[in-house]
Amino acid sequence: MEKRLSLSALWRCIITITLIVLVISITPIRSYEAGGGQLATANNSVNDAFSSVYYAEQNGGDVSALVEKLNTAVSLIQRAIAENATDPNLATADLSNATTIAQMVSLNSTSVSNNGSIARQLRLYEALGTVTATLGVAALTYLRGDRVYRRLWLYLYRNHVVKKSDE
Amino acid sequence: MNRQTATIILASITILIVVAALAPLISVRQPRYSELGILGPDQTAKGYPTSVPANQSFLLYGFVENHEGNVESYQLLVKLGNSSTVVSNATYANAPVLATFWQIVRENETWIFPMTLTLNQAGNNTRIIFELWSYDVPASNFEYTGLWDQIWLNVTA
Repeated sequence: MEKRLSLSALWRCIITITLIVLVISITPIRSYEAGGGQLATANNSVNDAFSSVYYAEQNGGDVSALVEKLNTAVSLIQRAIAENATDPNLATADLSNATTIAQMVSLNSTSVSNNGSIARQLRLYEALGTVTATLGVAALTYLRGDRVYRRLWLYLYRNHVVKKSDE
Repeated sequence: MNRQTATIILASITILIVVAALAPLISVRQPRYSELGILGPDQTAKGYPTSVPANQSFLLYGFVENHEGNVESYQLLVKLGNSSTVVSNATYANAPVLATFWQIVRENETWIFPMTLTLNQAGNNTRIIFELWSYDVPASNFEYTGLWDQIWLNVTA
């Protein structure tokens, strides 16, 4: 009975050690995948942010500041790729920062897009207002211009004494 | 000034003001294009290296200009090819990528950037191919613009 128990304990021990070895051997592969995954996440975040910036510009928004920030994120990704071989921790931090910046750009581009749409509508209303006012003034001038001109002339020269030329 | 002359002047002024007010709202369709150039180490179109030692870096500059009418996300791919590598305005080179340079460029802006490249394998007629790719927003991926450039190098041991 005791011999059976000790055999069972031995098997348990072997299985436990095998599992530990398996876990240890898998761990570096997992961390490598996380690095690759982080790069893909950062790339996707920048591409998504770029799409938002693109549409914000199409709506008439001023995207200068957003493009500048997005280029910072792009620089961080490129730096992370270069650093990956020498300093993976720094590369991970750079990728994380790039993702955060890109997500911020995506968020901010919504308000830039809305502002652009509003500004574009205002410009349209301004132009239509100017056209309407111009046509109105022109029509009034055409219809009532003579009368207004004569009244104005009389008002300005009301004290003017008209003398004959031979006087 | 008679009434007819006054009417013509009034109509002319009215038309001018209306056109000036509406002009900013009318978009003029201009030709849309990107530009790609490779510059030598002094940022001019001369002084390109013809022979470089293996495993030793050399400097070139990339030149990209955006006239696409909107902001663009460009990637310049540097590929290592040879005399048999096929590349054209319609087909990108099926060759290993040496380096990738990425930048978001606004309309009418120029992107000039240094490219420090290193070739590991010695050989004659080594071809460095530069391809410009841009991000296609509706397709959600980078697509080849059809713009490419190349330099030929002898890589010495």
